[in-house]
Amino acid sequence: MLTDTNIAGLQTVYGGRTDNLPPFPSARVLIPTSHGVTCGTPQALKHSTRTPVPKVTLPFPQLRKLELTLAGYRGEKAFQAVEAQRMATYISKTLPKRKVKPIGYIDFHSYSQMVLYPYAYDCSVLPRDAEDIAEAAWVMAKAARQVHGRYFNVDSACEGDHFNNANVTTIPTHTYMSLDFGTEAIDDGGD
Amino acid sequence: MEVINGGTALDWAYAKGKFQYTYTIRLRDTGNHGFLLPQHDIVPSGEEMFAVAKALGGFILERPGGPWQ
Repeated sequence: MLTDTNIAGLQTVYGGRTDNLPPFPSARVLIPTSHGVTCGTPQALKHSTRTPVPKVTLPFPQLRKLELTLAGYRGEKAFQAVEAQRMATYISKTLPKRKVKPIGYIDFHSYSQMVLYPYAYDCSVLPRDAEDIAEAAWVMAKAARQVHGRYFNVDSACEGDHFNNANVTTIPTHTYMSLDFGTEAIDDGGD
Repeated sequence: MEVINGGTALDWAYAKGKFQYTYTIRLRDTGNHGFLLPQHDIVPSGEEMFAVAKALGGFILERPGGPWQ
């Protein structure tokens, strides 16, 4: 993963500047998704048995730049991304002010054709009404399949989370930011 | 295989935002093109997601004792 070619390619694409990121392709994300979320603070996750991953800082500036290209990069702090911040404000302040009761929330991502339900952080905690939520997920997957015959799988978002493994290229700070465009530069779709 | 990390917007919306039904949908495709979805897939993908949104709305409406009541 950490090769000279990757770093060189990254510098070519972004002119050596990681703050010079390309505009967000609007077709890929239908709703500005937010990933800036603090792990473990939600009430329901208090009983989580998952061991928090210690924070690792990569020693070389070049490698730190490479962090931004990883799909698992979560930013430096919670709600670092403007999109995440705005979305959180909308949900926790604007909606209550307008006396709107939130019921459903859909987060659109590319890609894998899946419908995923909570929790993403830890499989050992089941959501309230887990059965109800999974049932609705299957209804949604079926509806999607009936349009063009594409199969959508249904799963808990925590399953097979290989970014949670404590390897050097995982940057386990506490948020997951939408920096997917970073991965486009070097990823062939296998990640 | 799923690649979502701990502490996503999904968890936040569910636990803190108090949404009863929260989902992360992964759109087309299954990895052949990855993040670079071909042009001819964009409109069908939108049609699928429109169906998904309608399906969730219908499910919530038909659910007895649901949160809208």
